[in-house]
Amino acid sequence: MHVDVLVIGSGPSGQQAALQARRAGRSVVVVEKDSTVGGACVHRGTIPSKTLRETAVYLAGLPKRTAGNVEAALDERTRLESLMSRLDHVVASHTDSIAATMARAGVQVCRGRARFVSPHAVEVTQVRGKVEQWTADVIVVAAGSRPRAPEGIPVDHEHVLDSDSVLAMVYLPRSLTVLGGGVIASEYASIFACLGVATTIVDKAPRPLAFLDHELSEAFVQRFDNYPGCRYLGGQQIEGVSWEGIGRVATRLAGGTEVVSEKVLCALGRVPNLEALDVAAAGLRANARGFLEVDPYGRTSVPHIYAVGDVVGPPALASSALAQGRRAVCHALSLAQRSDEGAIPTGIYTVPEMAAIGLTEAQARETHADVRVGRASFAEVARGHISAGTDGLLKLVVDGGGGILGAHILGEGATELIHLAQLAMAGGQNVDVFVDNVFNFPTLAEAYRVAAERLVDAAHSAPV
Amino acid sequence: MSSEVGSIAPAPEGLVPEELSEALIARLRAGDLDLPLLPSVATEVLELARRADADAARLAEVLQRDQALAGHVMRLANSASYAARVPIVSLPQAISRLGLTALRDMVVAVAVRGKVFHVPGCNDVVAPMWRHALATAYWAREIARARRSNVEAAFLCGLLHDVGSPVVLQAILDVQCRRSVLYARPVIEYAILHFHGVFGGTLVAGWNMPPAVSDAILYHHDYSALERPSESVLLTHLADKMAAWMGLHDGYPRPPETEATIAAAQVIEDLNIYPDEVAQLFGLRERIAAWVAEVEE
Repeated sequence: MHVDVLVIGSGPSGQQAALQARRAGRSVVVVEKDSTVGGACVHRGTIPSKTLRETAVYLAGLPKRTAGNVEAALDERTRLESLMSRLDHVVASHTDSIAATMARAGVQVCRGRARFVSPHAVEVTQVRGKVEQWTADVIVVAAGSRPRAPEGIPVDHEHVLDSDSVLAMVYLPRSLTVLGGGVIASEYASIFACLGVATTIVDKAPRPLAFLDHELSEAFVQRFDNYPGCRYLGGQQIEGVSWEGIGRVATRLAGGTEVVSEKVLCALGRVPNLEALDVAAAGLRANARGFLEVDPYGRTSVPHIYAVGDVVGPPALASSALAQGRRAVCHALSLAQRSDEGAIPTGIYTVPEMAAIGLTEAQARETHADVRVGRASFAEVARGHISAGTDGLLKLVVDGGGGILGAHILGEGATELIHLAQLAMAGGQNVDVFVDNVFNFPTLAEAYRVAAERLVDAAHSAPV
Repeated sequence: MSSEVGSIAPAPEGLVPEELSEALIARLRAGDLDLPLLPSVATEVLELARRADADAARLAEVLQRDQALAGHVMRLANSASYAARVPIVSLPQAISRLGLTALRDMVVAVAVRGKVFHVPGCNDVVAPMWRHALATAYWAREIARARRSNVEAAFLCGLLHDVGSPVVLQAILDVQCRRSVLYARPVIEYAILHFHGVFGGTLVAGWNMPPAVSDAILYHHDYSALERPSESVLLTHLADKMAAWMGLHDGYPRPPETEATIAAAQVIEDLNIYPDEVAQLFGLRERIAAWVAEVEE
């Protein structure tokens, strides 16, 4: 069987690649090894953790929002699944929606495991063992990733869990050690901390989420350390993890420190799902870190094979994966692409949420001579007080002419708020746009106005 | 999801006499069943295992009140599975070695065996049921592990999936006694097959088990009634087949399981297990047989 475009994987990047190709009138097949479409993002990652997060945030916010009249303490017998009772519904609705969108667009989905047999041919083994072969003019590898299991850390999905198994715990643990300081580690650590679990993050970096503007990651650590029994241990070398019985897993650190907890979550990165694909048969080779090397359009060293999403490494976020999938197919099919595609926002579903777009302050200072920063605290807008979320902050980074270089937000609603900055940047607006336009009142979006006014006022008062 | 006593269908009349079906349904509806409670020591251990201040010494103190339970803990801690480098000689040492999860699993296993899989005069029927339940628990645990899913709930679901069977058997014996009738063994087996899910669901409703356990009990033989069966139900269904394939039968009339029937089963597709992964599971047979034997000793 032959198609114009064959996509391996149906996560966010695979979906976008397939839909973009269909919009261009090409025949498309998506090979998906799971029984439903959506990828790890839907079934084991983004959607399940966000569902738990929603409950955690709601419960934690109750006492504040009700002035202490309603307490929502969870006892130690709380079943984890009871906190995610909507999960099945959320996942089913989302996968149904993806499947319907793909079907409407005319994307054929072939369930099975893909394996390259040549640069243009892919063998698909179905779950019953039946094998069929597909050939395609363009192949997009969007096979996703799975949690890395580093040597010396015995992930048994019982005492030592990974991000696939952590949400299948029966009960909330009393204590948890999270290994790693990336997005997944920080998200789960803050969610469990918010649920009252004594959580310790251990990582080699001095601060977590090092790719973020330092003010955001420092504010995150400050808020995380404020949860009872929670702390961030940065600059640590993990020497080993061992289960020592009686609800005790010991994490040994260089220097002799030992962190003991009931469970450990190992979130020390992810590895791409490439082994079973036999990419060598297509003339491809993974780099030293196990990822496929690609150019800015997602093209690999074999010109008609593209790679997108987690198989190409960081940032490995759903938002960037969506853009990569679309960009790859546009390039492969010589479709018109916006030259000013714009920056892609980063959303991190920690508690509190964080979001960013464009350059951090440090990056801006490396590339621009004149960099100005405007800040606003959510305590400066009425909505922050109404929603008991005054500990949020918004930071705008602009150039000397007021051009927006980046925006960084910490606080509830950050992942939605960031889109205002995204559109302003995409439209080439400068920071005045947040002063000249009236936002609804009371909203958190007003924080943009506060930060922008500071920048504008400072510019006007600057010596000529 | 919980069992709905009002909606129980009678067993097919050709297989189970109508009066027996009616008598069993009536007893269930009337709550006229001898539903065993977990022994107090087991309940206390389970409770302690969840507490922040649980420690081996306190658990040992409680366990010592039930010598059979304490004996099992010692045996298991010294078994090959836990690979003790030095012999475990004390209960606190044994508990520390096992850990809370294994201890809790074992306490439930031993308690269920003693209180539920115990029908006087019927050991020849009940003992195989118990071995089947134990094997199903181990299979469920290992299938869950292979799927990168958490293993805690899987073990419990497997262990308790047929917990209704001995309760149905006891109820049939009571009916026989009250009505002075004797049912042929195939009749009893079909009655157990038909009613054990709903009886088991009723039994564990009083045990404060996770909902996944009730679903596994109710739907492990036929999950087609569920629009989207949970992973626990699917795991238990497959684990039940694997245990039967080992020759550890549950005592119901059922077709034999072979590698071919399991590989062809719908649950393999529903759990999305590929042929090489199925083959890896078959490779666990000896290990699981050894674990069952260890607990059986």
